[in-house]
Amino acid sequence: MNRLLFLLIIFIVSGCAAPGPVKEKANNILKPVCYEKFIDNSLGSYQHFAHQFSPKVVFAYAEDASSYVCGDAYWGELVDNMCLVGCSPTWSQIEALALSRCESAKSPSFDKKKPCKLFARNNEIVWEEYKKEDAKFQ
Amino acid sequence: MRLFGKNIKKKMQNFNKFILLLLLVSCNLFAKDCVELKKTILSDSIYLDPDIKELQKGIESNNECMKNLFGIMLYNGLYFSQDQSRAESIFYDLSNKNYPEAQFNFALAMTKRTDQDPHVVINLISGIFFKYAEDKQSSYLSSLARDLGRKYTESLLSLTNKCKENKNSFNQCNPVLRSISADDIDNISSKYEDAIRDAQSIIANNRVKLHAESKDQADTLVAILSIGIMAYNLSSAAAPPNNATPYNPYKFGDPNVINNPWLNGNPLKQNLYQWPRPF
Repeated sequence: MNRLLFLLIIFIVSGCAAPGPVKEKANNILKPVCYEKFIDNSLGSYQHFAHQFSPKVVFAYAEDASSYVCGDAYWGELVDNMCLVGCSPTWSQIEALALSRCESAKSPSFDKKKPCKLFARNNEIVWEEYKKEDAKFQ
Repeated sequence: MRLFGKNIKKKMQNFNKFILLLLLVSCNLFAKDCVELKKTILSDSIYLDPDIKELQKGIESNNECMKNLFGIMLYNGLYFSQDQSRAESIFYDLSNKNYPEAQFNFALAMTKRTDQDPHVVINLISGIFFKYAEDKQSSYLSSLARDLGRKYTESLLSLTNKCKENKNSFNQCNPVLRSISADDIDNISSKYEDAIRDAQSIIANNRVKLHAESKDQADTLVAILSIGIMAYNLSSAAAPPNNATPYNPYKFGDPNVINNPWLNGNPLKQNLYQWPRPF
């Protein structure tokens, strides 16, 4: 019985953890505190929201030569409580909140040429993806 | 018998009409819509004759999505021979009709040209970023526009070099691009980032405000509903339905009767309540 309970706990905890390759990629880019924040799977943390049904959570990050900052936002913080259909915010709105939080976390000495950029949407790391391929017509 | 035959004829005619309608509907179902067509042509690079006919039909009927797709095909020389200036004018016309994708496409086409003032192009891109951030259908264009702006500022130096390399087309280059320096590019880039930062803050604040207001309204609504339900419960408990057994506090010995005289008004005034109770 105890073993079953232990397995169940392991299953629940591992279910909310970031997948291995995502962790590895994140570890290569993010500095310690932000990395911890990104992989944190406690209640109300980034991974907790990233593992919800139909998740919409965004992580933003910036670093200069001496420091780094990050910010996140999830759709529940921006949902319209008085509507019946289409109450969820757009990705751009969630991104805007995460990026604004990241920007406001910067110290005055932070390099102004290093803006906060999108690091991940849910567990999909999109850090500087736009640099890798040409913009496409829509 | 004749009457019966007439009914059958009528029913047959109705059935034929129904089959015809069904055929028409099924034909439309088989025809690809623009989004599907776009995927087949742009992502899978498959050009089937029925699809091209569908595209032509769409262009003739002034379908904006089909026209935009035609513009993309012209710009990249897909199936049709390449004609970038015609494609740009298609994007421009559709942009003036407020077609979101065409506005992005027009901006993208402008980022590849050397005869455009970078300040104007950046302005256009920032505008698209801000305009579509809150648009449920086209918000993805907002994110794409933000990235396009960054990519464009990073490509300014190579555009300048392109101007300098080709002496024949040097005069056609925009004067700003002809003489742009690394400091100028830094300046344009930081102005763009400032604009994006400000826009982001406005977009986030608007939505946070909406969320807070709607939460307050929802809380008020829930409170009103709770009070309403409570009041209803109290009133329905005080006044039993018409078909219910009349309350009789003196009907002792009946286990189904709840002997609570206070629920039927003040029993002291009715002079019905006696103390001590006559057991």
